Amino acid sequence: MKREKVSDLLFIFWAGGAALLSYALVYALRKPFTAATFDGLDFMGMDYKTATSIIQIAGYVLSKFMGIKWIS
Amino acid sequence: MRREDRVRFIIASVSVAELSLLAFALLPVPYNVCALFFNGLSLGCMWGVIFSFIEGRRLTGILASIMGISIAFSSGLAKSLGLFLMNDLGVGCFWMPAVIGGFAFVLIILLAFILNALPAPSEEDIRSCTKRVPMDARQRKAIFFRFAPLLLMLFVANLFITIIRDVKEDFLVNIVDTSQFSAWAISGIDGMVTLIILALFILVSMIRDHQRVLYTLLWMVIGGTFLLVGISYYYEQLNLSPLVWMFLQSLGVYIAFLSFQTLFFERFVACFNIKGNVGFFIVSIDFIGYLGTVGVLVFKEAFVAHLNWIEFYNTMVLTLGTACCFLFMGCILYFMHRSRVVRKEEIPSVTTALSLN
Repeated sequence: MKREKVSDLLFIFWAGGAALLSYALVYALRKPFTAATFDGLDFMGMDYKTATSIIQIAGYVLSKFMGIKWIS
Repeated sequence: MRREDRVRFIIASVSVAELSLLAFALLPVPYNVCALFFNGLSLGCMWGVIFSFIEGRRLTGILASIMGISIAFSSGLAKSLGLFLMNDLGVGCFWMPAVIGGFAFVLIILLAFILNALPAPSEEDIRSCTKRVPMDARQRKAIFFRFAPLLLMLFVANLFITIIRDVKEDFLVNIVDTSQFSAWAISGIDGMVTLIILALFILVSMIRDHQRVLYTLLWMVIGGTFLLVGISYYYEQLNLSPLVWMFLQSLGVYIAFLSFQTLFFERFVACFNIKGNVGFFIVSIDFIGYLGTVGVLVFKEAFVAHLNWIEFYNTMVLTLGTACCFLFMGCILYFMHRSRVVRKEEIPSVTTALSLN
């Protein structure tokens, strides 16, 4: 019983830790540009900062849509 | 997706993501924004793939909670890192994403191999959580129609929650004056919120009865959205300091958002003995949610560009948050009705699955 608990705990650190870090790092690939304000720039008449968000999310949404098929 | 393909999929995804950030740095402004489309495109499935490594285990509840907290603190951390690179190290705003991404890219690939080395779910795991199997188009449709009223309510509510979350995350620097805090204040607050939610979720994971977990989560989520609505309604009277405001907003938004990203569907699949997997539900919910975010951004840019951000944010939270409260109440009523029907007649195996736990 006690031994099982220890192995559970190790498993939680291993699997949980790796999953947590992996997804945190995905954010490091996706989100840092939101820290910039890109003042004074624009893209085809649209505020540049808004354009960055919209364009990135558009790709992200398309990816999710295809993902419904791949991931399930 | 087959087990063998996961690592290859992750490596391909992060490679494209980093390449697109390099393109963002190298291409002429303002056309470089187009590179971000490929960045988004390559990363949309990462949650689902990483989740599939930990799904369908006796300990999934705890593992998913731990993984889920990354959603709450990482956005703030990424922003803090970005500010740190730009303000303290003098990296330009177009190169900064690629520099941070370069480190992340290497580390994610290493972690993918570590996750891949996890043992497959054991017999005991399968007994307590039902076996997780890939679903084809026909099965996905059948599952959807079997739970259509519930899933529709959840999809709409999640659409609203995701809209609130994304507007808050992406435009925080416009909503609150962040120049008065250090670069790490945002991630400090999100870190605190994260720990609180982690503690709550671990407590919930210890409840064995799947149905009780579903009820508990729904009540927690109603509490969270109610908090958001209250703060928006009394914004003037409360006159909260920006830090407290940010803390409460994060708490309210992420309780709801994370419940559905982590614990909810895992227990839903187990409770109703569904032959399928959690990835399908989570990715569907995400897809619908992000459609909403795009909608709001386009709407805001096209029609109300002169609107002041905090006013826009409060009105949005007030309307969408109230709707969410009602939708989640609807879900509770659905479960109450459904469990009465199920226990009496529908599928005998569900009752055994419930009593086993």
